[in-house]
Amino acid sequence: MLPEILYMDVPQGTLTSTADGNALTAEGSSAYYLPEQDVDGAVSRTQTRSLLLQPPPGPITMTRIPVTPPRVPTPVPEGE
Amino acid sequence: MATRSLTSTAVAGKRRILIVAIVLLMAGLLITTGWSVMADIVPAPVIVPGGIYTGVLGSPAGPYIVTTSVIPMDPAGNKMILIMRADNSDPTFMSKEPPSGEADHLMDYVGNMVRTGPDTWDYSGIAYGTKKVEGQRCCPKSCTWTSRRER
Repeated sequence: MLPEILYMDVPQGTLTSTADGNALTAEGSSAYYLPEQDVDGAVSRTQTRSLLLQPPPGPITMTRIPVTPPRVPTPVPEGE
Repeated sequence: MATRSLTSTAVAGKRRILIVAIVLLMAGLLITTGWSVMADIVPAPVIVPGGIYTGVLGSPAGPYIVTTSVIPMDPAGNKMILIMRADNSDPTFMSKEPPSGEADHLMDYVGNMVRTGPDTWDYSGIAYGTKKVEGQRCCPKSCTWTSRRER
């Protein structure tokens, strides 16, 4: 059997980037929904009701994992 | 004769001060006008973040480790896809009450970001808390996948 969906968490808020794009700070809150399943057990977001609005968890700052630039292969001169 | 010379020197000094003041005033006007004109012409640099970000959020249950993928949907970064995974999440949100207290898995958050300023975006997303259902765990015989080795 497929796992049963018990709830839906819908966070929303604001993301702010540093000038170099290497860090993102997220702020916001989360709405928490319980699914109301229809007779077939299908769940849709329109069939949900809000249970509670979670308090903002506080800002979180995330740092970008450094990315190694792609290595461009050196073209081989014709005739070699 | 001496008095006349002193008077002319004083007048020349005042003229010099007046000329310097006018020059400074003109320079100031030019700089401020030029600056404002340049500010109108040169757009602010557009920040387009993208890649994989990691962070830690403090919670009553301990540090919450988050890994986030940000994928721009256009070169200007006005719309972006956001995928966030809480690596050591508590799917029950620290709740012992059903139904969240019964969840045993929290799926990744998926959502999007929409630009609201040079360095800000509004985001929204969705994630599901799920629970394994006891009982039949295998696919019916007709749906069983076979590996290449079994063929």
